[in-house]
Amino acid sequence: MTIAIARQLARTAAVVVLAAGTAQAQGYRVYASNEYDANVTVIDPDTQTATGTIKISGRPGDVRPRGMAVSPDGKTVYISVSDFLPKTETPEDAIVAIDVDRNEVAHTYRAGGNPERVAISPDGKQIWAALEATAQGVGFDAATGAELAKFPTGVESEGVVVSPDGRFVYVTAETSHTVTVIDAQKLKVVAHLLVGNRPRDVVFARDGTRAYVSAEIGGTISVVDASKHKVVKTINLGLDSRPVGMDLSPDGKLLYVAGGGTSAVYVIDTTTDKVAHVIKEKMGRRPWAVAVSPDGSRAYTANGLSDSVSVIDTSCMCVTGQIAAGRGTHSVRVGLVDAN
Amino acid sequence: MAALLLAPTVADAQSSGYAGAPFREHPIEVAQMAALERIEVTARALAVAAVSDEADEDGAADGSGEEHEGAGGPLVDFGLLRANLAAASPELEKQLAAAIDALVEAAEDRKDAAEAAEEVIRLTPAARGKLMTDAVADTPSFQAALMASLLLDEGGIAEGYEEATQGKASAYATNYFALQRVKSLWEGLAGRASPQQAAEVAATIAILDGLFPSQETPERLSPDPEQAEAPAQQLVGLLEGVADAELYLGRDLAAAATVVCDVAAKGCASLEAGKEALGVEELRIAAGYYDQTVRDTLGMMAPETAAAIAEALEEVDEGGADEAAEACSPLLEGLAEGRAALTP
Repeated sequence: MTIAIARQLARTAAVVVLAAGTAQAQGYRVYASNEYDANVTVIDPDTQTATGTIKISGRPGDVRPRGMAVSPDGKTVYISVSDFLPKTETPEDAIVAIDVDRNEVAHTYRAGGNPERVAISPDGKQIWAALEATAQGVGFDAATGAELAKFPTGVESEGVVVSPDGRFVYVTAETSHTVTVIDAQKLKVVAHLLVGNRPRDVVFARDGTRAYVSAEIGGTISVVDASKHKVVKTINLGLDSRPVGMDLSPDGKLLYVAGGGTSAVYVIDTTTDKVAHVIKEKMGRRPWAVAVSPDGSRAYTANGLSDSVSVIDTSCMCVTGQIAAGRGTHSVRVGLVDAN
Repeated sequence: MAALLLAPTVADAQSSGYAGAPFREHPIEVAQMAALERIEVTARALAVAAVSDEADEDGAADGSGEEHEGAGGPLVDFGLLRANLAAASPELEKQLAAAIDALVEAAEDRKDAAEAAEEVIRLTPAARGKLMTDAVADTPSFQAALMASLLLDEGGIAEGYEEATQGKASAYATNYFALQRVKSLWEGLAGRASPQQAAEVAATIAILDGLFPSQETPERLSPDPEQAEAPAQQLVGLLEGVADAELYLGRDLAAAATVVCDVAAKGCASLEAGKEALGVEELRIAAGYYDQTVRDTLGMMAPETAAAIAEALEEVDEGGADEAAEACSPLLEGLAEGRAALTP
């Protein structure tokens, strides 16, 4: 069960939570990337405190970590690292792999093109990144670091996710308002989909039949039939909602959506595609990402303007805690690791 | 060509979710009034630059040799409204044209541009009055559209900060004054805001004030070139609620494509009617909306159509009235295909 959950959670984008111990005792950690401090905050969810940081670069303000993903076994956290020059490619553009046992950088994949978000295939063999500066999606062999292929996407690519069966990669493009579908096995572009205005994040349903795409300016979530790669429904959150990062509950029945502009989290019932809860009270400022704990009891948001992580108790759908992180908290990831 | 001219369509503000949709309802007027706003803030920035340079000459010259980048800006912006202004008031058009020419010349020659800038600033209110009636221009919806343009248009506050971090001092100065203009326009809308909206707008403006603290470029700008973008976007989102107006034309790509088609069709009709200057002006406005809203998406979804449109718009931009008239047929055909590609 532990490994199965880990593989499912490897698809989600921002908070990495690593579990120690057995499936019965599922301790986990929460990781939050801090864009302006060039580090990652490590959070103990039991004490709800930051226990330390992982340094990504000694040049905060020049180098920024943003999107994150966790390997299926939870032993590696992958972080998109770039500079602050979105339109150019520099040596800082990379995917950094952190060995979470040692809390050290284990490998650096030269990415180029200002990678903004990263995703890992369910088998852990492929790393995919959205390259903001060059309007591309790029795939790497996780073991060797070799570049598998690079594909043109829409302008200002951002969100990236691999389907649960490992077959397809979806990459969003902020300025083109599109999603590019890449066949990860045949290594070719399959389609470009028109979604809502200014798409940010994309996640697959647990069973892989659908994908959800957040559109910040559109205030919508596009629902994609993943077998046909077609938008079949649009969930309207309101023009002022500004949806950005997303994550699913472990059972896939709830979609948590961070509303960056409204400092709220929208919880969508995926069986009805309707908003079931709006969590706003005590929320940190500008929640940009959200991640759900392995048991679904908590959700965590990365709050860029309050430099914090908010803790949501899903039994009351309310914020029960705030944890100080670093400057410009960008992404948060929750993952599960089999400590054995 | 008449057969290819697209029948104007009715703007549908209701479908936007807001009561007003100024970019759909008055696309030409918004573009022209926004251009006039940019002319005025550029004049204010150039006036300051002239004074600073004089002070430098009295003391130790900084030797930067920096050119007054953006001095061509007012000419480009004037090209979006000149023919309309001339039709409404030939005398005012001549005066403003002369004032802008003098301003640009003074800036390019690094001479004192203050007097020329004052003349431009003096004339712009009258030009506003000639380009459209107060009944529309003074509505909250229209005022919010001008604020959105100053914040998010190419060369606006969001993009201007990015350019400033890359060394373009004129982008900083111009957008400092653009921000002051946004604040001034906000005063006219603030009464409509709820206490929470007002507080959020104030907080967002405070962030932008922190990025543009004075008319002189700070010694150190943010390492993040895009730092002005998020608050600028947030402010426009707040303005939508306060003004009850759709301020993102590109939110609905099909509607945006319709606006582009309609404005282009109007321009082509003007050319066909022998109103050459007016027609080219309207086509330039259509090109601006095309670039802002649908170009990138069409480039993905219908690349051949996008290429054909790009080629036609290049003719409009680089040629004269004759070239623009010749480009009308492929342009309108391409835009119609593009709209179809973007319509669900």
